[in-house]
Amino acid sequence: MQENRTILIAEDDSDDRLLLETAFKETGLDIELVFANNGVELLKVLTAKGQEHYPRMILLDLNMPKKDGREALKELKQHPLLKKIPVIIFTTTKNEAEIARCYELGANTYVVKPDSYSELLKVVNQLKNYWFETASVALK
Amino acid sequence: MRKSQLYSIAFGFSILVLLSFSLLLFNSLNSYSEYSALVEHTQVVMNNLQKIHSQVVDAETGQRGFLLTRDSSFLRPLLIARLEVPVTLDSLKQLTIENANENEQIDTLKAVIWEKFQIMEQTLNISPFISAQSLNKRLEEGRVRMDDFRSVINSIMKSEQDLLKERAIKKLKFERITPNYFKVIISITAIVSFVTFVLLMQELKQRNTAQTLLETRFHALNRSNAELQQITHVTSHDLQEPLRKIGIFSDALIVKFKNQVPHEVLAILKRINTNAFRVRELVADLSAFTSLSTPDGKIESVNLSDIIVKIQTALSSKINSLNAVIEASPIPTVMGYPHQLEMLFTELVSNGLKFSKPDVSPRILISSSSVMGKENDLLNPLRQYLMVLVADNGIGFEEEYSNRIFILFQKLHSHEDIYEGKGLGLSLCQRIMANHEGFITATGESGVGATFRLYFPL
Repeated sequence: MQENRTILIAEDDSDDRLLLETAFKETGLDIELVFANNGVELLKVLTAKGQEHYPRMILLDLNMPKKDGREALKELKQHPLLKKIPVIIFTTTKNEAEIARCYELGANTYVVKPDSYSELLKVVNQLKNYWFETASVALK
Repeated sequence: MRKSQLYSIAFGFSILVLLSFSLLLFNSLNSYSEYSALVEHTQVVMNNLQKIHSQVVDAETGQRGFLLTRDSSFLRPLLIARLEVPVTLDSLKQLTIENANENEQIDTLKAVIWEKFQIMEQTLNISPFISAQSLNKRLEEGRVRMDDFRSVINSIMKSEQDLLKERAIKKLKFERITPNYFKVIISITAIVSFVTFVLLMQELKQRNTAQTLLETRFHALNRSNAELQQITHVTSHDLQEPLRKIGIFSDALIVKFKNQVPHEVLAILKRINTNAFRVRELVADLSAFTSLSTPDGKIESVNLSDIIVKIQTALSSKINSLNAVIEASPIPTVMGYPHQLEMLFTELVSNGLKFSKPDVSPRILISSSSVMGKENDLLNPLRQYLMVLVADNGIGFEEEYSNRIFILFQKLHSHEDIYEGKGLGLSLCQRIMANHEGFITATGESGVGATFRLYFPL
């Protein structure tokens, strides 16, 4: 069976999508990024395919139209199969209460969007090395 | 203030006038009843004199009738007079006890009547045995006595009549004047009541107008506060994001293409990046400042000493690198917003570290004392305050700038290379102190240091 190397990214901001795309490309061309504009799209993408097509991890923005990150996270973590996919909250909010709430809802980690490109590169590398290559495999 | 003083004086004056007239009325009523009683008294005295007079005259007439007819029934008036006149005289004596002159006259009257009765009885006793000539002589003597009696009783009557006249005039005077006092009192009361009513209505109207104005202003203020909150929200979220992206995209260009573009381009990109970062920080500070206008959280008892320890820990790397010393004596707890007070002391301590002299280790002293509001013009002179003093040995500032340093984004030191900062910190401190109903003042001396005084109302 061919190894699935997909990251599903729920992000409504095109700038942030471009930045993530650029940064992930710098870490290597072996990862496929699939984008969703909001929580509704995210869940649609996930349920449309079978379990074998599930992404290795999900990057989830909190503030999105239609269905925001919190609602999507809650639904993901209540789903019997989807709950196994690591969810990384990727957002601008630094509010401690918000962070605590996300962990309560089942987020695997919480990353504040970096202010500089070099920081972004570091974050993306870490996500790739830990959550993508190690943790998500271990969770299976 | 002057108006209310005027009202008080007017009110006091009218009360005084009312009291005076009430006193006059009271006196007048008293005098009236006194003179009424005296008039009655005089009339009683006169009635008694009349009674004596008629009884003596009746006795005299009866005596003559008996002498002419020898009918003993003519002696009845004499017998009655003998019995009743002394009683009436006694009561007259009592009634005139306060009038010495009259009292004396009553004694004279008594003597005269006594003699008269003696002569009458003697005449009656001896009348069967004496001649007509002797009888006439005795009767003549009796007539003389009768004249004496009349003269005395008339004299007493006359003085009583004079008294009656005098007393009746006075009684009439008070009878006439009393209702006038009543009228004056009622009129003054009515005028004072009316004026008070008019003034009260005016005051009420003014208050209503003021209250309406206040309510309108209050709603306007609420509206602008709501707008301010919206602006705060926009600045803190919607403005921050594009700025973050300008920064991160310019940074991406620098990182990705630093080996492919000329140095000039890189330098310009760096400037774009730095400025985007600065604007972001400014916006963040501004939004922190505006968010202080609507204090969040609850007021609670805050231990300032604990806060200072916490700040020292948070700033420890900076403190160590500057070899700074922070000396804080114990400070009592105050009522306030813990988060804001932490911000306040962080700003002040950071300020002390930031504006240190290049070759001198920063030294920041924090102490507190209790002071009366009279100490400073800003304060309420009737209240007591906890004064917290934060003094440093840094570059200080010219005394003339002591107010300017609290103005938003006002910087005294333009050497941005040496002293970083955007000039917001002290405005933040002033705002926080205002949220605690307190004040902050700054004094300084160029090259010696700056001293900040925080006044928390107790």
